[in-house]
Amino acid sequence: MIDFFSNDFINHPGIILILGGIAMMFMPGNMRRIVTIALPVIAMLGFLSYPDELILTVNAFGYTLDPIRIDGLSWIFTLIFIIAAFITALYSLHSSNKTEQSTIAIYAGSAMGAVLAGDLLTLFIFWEISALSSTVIIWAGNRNQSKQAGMRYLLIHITSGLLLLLGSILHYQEHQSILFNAMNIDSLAGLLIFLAFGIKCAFPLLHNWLQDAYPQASPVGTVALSAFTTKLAVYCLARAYAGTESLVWIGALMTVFPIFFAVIENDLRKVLSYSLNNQLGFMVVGIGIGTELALNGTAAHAFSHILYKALLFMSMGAVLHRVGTTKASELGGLYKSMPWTTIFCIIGALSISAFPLFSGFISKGIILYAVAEQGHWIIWLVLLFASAGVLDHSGIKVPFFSFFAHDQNHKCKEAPMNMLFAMGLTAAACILIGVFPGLLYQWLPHEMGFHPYTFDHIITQLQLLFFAALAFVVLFRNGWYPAEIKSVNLDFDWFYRKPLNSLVAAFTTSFTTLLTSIQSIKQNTLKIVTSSAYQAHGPKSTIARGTSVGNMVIWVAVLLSACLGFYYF
Amino acid sequence: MIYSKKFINFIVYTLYALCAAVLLVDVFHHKHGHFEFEEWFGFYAFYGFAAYMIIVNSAKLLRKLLKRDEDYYD
Repeated sequence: MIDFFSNDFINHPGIILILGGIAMMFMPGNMRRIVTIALPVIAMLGFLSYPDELILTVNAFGYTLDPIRIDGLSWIFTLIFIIAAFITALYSLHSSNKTEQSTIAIYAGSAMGAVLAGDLLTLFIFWEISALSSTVIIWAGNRNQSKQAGMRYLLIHITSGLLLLLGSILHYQEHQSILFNAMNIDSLAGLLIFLAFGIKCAFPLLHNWLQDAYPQASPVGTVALSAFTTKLAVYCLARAYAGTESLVWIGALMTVFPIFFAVIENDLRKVLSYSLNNQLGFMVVGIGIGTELALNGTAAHAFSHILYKALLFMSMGAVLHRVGTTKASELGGLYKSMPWTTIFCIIGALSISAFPLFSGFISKGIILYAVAEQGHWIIWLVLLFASAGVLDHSGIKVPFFSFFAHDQNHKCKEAPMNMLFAMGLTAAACILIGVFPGLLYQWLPHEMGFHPYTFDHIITQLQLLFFAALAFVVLFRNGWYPAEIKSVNLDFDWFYRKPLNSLVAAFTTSFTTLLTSIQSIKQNTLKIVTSSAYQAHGPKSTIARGTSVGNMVIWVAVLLSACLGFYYF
Repeated sequence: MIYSKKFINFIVYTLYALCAAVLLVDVFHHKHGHFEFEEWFGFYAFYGFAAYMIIVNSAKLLRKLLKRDEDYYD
């Protein structure tokens, strides 16, 4: 039997956050705020009390399960998830949205539980909790599209969960074990689980739930969403499919195609969602390469990415909170009213663009180096191309069009104090890791022999970035840079929001017509049956006629009296 | 202050100077890369410039194809 009160379960950071989140739903405002900030701290203490390596095995329902597995890979992902949970909690302190605040704790906890899971059943359970809780976070955004986008998001993530479940069952039939270890895509089970992870990781053509739903959450909600779901998928892929060749190509494609959409997108939080998709591509390439260095690169990039992406989403969230919109066409000149937010946003932009001394430089560099080491020159050129794209959409577009560009004279206050603290802390972490990469490298799953600060690496990166920035100056000063205009751009979601939607509508209409005609046929048949029955059995029908009975009685009486007559004579 | 012509020119000329400086390094310093083309003069600089131009201009073409009114899905 499972001992749920053993120290291993009590210290489980995921369980601490999930139970805490449920309790928070019943707490009054100020108490909830204290608990929301205390929970990640308690979770961190619990987590740090674990040894560096741990596998907790239990036997339940006739299966051998490993509900907790700690090794190099799961350790660093859990660590960054707890840090992200703390930052989000700090950023949400001003909020009075009870549902959102408590659900974020549950959501963060479920992501940690999934990362620590050593078997497919435990993984599936936390996978589903994270899908449901993140949907609630989108709904809590309460924007005009939140309900519909949340529903689309839920359907897609439920599909991912079902694929995981089906794959796990087939995997058990094949191997008589549901432990979550290396798999391959040659078996059906492996392929289904790969697809389940691929949906959550926003693979090309499976990606659109991300850009559809994330901008529909609240300023706080989007920060939480940006950290967990997709990086959980990255962790799962790194755990099970490291060295799978197709991931190299999938990842390279992921780095490239979202940047074109990001350039022409008007909603800056949607721009950041495309940019998030593009950053995942770098991590996926690292998993596909699969060497120790490449996997270190993926883990390091996930770590620094969670920080700078949260920072960028926090700065845009602050803008949304104060100005009420993040549409580039309606923003500009905000540096005057929000100077601190501006500085923090620029630090996030420098980090994601991978400028030396910022976190992206010391993590993305590992992946590019690992790709080059394996001689994949096409992939390497694609990643370098995408790096120039990152500078455009996240490095320049987001800070430039919101805080500078055309002054729209928005008069607003600086972001609330708790938001500034959360952003300041994250910005400091981005710089700290960038300046002292050893701090992060010591936590990576494998031995590290990579040095980011070589003269060649610094100078080539600066050449790439400065000349890409030069291209922006040339385009912008000549009026060739695409203007920010109110619009939506079609993406893959068009297929299920328009044709599929019409198909469903057409199906519903024809089905309704069919139902009505069946109904009328039924009614007509019933009418015929009842009227003929009425004719035969009604009050004026042959059977109901009294005459025949009367005649019969008369004739019987006649016959009987005739018989009587015969006896007498 | 930020919107004054003087300040904008200052930023732009600083960028020009930085570009020139990092490109000049290639004259004196021989890079060691994994690939031969990495060692060409100004490879990263020209690649960065070209990539940016290609991305923005092809996105403009893409916009013609994909742009719809804001209430398209409503």
